Amino acid sequence: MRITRIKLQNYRQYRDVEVDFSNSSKDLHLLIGDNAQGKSNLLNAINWCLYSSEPHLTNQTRALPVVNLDLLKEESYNENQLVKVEVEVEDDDTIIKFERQANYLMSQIKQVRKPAFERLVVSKQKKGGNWQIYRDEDAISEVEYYFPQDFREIFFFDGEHLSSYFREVSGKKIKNTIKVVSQIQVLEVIEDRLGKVLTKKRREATKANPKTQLVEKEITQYNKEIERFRSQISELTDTLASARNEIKELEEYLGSAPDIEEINTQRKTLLDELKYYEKLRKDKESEFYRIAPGLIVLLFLKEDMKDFQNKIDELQQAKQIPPTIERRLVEKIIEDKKCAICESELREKNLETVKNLLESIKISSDLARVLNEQDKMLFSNISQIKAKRKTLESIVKDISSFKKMENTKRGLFEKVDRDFSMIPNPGEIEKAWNKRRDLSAAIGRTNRDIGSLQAQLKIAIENKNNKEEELSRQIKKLGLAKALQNEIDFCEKALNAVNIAKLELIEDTRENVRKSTKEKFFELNFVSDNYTDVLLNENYELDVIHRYGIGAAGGLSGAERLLLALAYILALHEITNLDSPLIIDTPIATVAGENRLNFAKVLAKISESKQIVLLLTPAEYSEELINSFHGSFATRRRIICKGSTSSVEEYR
Amino acid sequence: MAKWRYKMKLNTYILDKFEEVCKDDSHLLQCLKNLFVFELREQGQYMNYYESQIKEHAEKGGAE
Repeated sequence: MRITRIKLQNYRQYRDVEVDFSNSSKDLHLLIGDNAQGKSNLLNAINWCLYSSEPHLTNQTRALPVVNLDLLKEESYNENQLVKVEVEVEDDDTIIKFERQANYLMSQIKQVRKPAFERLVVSKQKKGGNWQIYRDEDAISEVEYYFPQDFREIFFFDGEHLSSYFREVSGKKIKNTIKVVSQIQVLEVIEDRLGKVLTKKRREATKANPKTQLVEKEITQYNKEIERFRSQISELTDTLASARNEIKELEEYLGSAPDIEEINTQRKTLLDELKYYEKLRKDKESEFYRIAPGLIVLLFLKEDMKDFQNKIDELQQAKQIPPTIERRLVEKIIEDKKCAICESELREKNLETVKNLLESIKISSDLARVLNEQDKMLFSNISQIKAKRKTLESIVKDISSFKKMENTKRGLFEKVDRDFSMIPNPGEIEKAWNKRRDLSAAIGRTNRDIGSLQAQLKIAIENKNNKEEELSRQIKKLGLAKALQNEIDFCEKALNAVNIAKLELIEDTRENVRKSTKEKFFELNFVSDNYTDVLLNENYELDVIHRYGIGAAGGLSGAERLLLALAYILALHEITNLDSPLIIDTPIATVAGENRLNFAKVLAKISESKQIVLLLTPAEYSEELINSFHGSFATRRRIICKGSTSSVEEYR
Repeated sequence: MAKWRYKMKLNTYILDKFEEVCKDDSHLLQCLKNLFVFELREQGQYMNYYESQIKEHAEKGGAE
């Protein structure tokens, strides 16, 4: 099957363009155009024609209607403008024309971006026969017959949207389509129908036996349970896949943008620490101001105090300070009228002498006591100067250390703040990070749910198998008519054989796709020494194994990713025997040198049995590439955009 | 079931697999082949056809 012609009318920048793909020994066609000339829109036009959707749009164009908007500038534009894309295909002896039309009311185009009507018509003509026309559901069915939508990424390869080839959703789509393509789906139908026949036969055999009927009922119950668990698992697996894809998309959007919540937490922590050290410093400063004035006074008086102390010392040493007599003792003697030592009664005369003594020592004793107290106080004050000075020194040290910490924290806080102010759209980034976090949590929960359902499913399957065996044993004991017993046995055998064939086919197909992808990747990739193997998991997700034995798909360079995806597409074409065309947009923008030449060689070889259309930028269309094709392309054209209208011309 | 224009090219794949799985059981193989062709033709009313196939091949297989 090959595309023979594409006709575009009023579709985006194409006013009236027809591209013929005439055949030659090699069905290789080159369309060269700079960016924004209409290269990708040619691919979009085919997609729009077949599926009414355009997956290769930029966000900016996505919002615009497909009608050529230049028509609005024209003075006498028609109120109704028809957009038409026709893709003509040749399949053995049949010509198929897919034509989509959309009618736009131009006066309302700014308000109503959708067409007033849109329709797909498919016309088919067998060689020498009449044209058959298909509309509505029949037309869609014809598209699905030739270009199944789920498989479109395999017909229309977009080098600029590579990531989609590495996503789980694409993998699942591919897996399902391969199931259809490789007829595994037919086996599933046979399996299901054989199961129903077996149930019917068993019912026939057990209709008069309540015991076996009970087992049969239990089997039906387990089957329902198994069905329910499988559908729940499938639903959750889809949720999981789309959550993972969303995370991948968010990661692509976020790039190296920091986590805003983390930054906010960091800012808060730094601010708290800054405030903490500020408080410590202020407390110490208050303590300093409380202690310092006292010390200043003491320091001010220190010399005088020392002089005074020295004077007292001198007087003491010269014994010029009268002895301090304990006045209270003398007063007690007078009061008791007794000697404090021998306790003998004092006579009046002696008492008088003691009274005189008390009078005479009063002044000198008071003076001596005052001097002693002063001496002690001076000593204490001088000692205090030392202690207070030490305390103040320690406070000053603390203040300085807290200030240092404050400065460090302030510096860090200001840096985080500065970094934060450099983030473009922090609100959007924060939302994206929050969403990523929520999705991660949801993935964790879903994984747990899937795990639990899988465990329940396993138990239900085991129970069902046990009951099946039990039923089989019981039926044998019933002594049925030989013919019925034979039919039941045969049906069980047939069901088992179909099941084994199905499982083996699923595995074989995957293994064949994997092997072919590996072979083609190594053929395309000049530096494939870095990798030793290509893996394809059961969800049809790709991975490559680095020579050190670790999965490396995430670390592939842009060029390697492109070559791996391309190898995968080529392998899918080969294994599924797709004879459909392959249209590749911007295939080798990231590929250089030897790999580019390998690409040309591989594509030239494939084009001997498959139609290939390459949409290239002038940078991709290099001298070395042309040389590698050895001039074997069937057509070579240039897409040129003048003003805002594109045309396709022969390349000169 | 979705139509698919490439199906005939891949049928040999499945038929080979049936031969592999059925080994020397020619009746089992024939029965599965018949059911497969029946499904490819997308004929309705499967129950009668399936039952007749099971009956026919179980009989023949049992007689061997």
